[in-house]
Amino acid sequence: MNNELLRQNYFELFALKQDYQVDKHELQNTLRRLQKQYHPDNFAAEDAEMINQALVISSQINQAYTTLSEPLSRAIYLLQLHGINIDLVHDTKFSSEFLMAQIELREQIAEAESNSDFDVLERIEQNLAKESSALDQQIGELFSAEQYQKIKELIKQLAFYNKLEQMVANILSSM
Amino acid sequence: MAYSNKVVDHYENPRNVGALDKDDAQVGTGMVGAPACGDVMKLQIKVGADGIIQDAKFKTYGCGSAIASSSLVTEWLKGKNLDQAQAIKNSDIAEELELPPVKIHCSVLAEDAIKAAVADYRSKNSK
Repeated sequence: MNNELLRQNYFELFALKQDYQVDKHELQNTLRRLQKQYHPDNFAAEDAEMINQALVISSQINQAYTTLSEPLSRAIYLLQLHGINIDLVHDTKFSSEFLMAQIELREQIAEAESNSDFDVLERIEQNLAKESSALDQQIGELFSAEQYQKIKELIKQLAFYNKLEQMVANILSSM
Repeated sequence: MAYSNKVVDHYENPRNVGALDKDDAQVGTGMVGAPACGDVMKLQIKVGADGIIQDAKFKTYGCGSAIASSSLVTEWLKGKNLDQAQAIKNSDIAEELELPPVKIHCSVLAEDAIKAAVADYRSKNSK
């Protein structure tokens, strides 16, 4: 087995160009190929160390796929590879405009939820998806322009929109 | 994950929910957000001529720990001067509410909200 795999970053592991834009189909195809190739069952006849290594590589492959498949985690990871760490837990500063807009959105969602207003919630969900994909696009452009510091702000905002999308989806599915 | 009794108490009976007039020169407003969990916190203080915090209000959209953290600090803030307010540490909040490690960031948010509110009050009153 190839120990090199564990030293590769996620893009290298998936034989992808180190770039924010990734081809989802290619990612999925590579995932299936790698999962097959390094499935621990393939190493059942080998010694314990080999089996253990296959397990480590398998989990690395899954981790890489999860990270690269979502815009938010992919952006955070790619930024890290450029030497910029982003701390979503301790970085709590935002423009007050952004936070006010967030509070307003939360209020709209809470109101629609208490009124069981499916239509409003669906509209909010669509708007959130639009905001997310606009941010996704801007992040892509900034990566191409190598403006890494600016990406940080957008990643923080994208994290908010992802959370809200999840929240609205949960409300809708429980209605 | 089980919340401590103190968190549940603040969550079910939050103290000082509401808003103060943000345009009032005596009022400092701090707004912060936690991207990791999507929580938003608005904390306001009203400071008397003697420099003592007379009133504090909050509005938090987030989990139980975030609501409890902000509710608790509004209680703590009243009667303190600004330096004492700024000395409140997230570890004090986490300890009082017995927050588990995964919820420490909620207390960080509350500490940052206090700092932002004090900074807003000071910038309003330095002119």
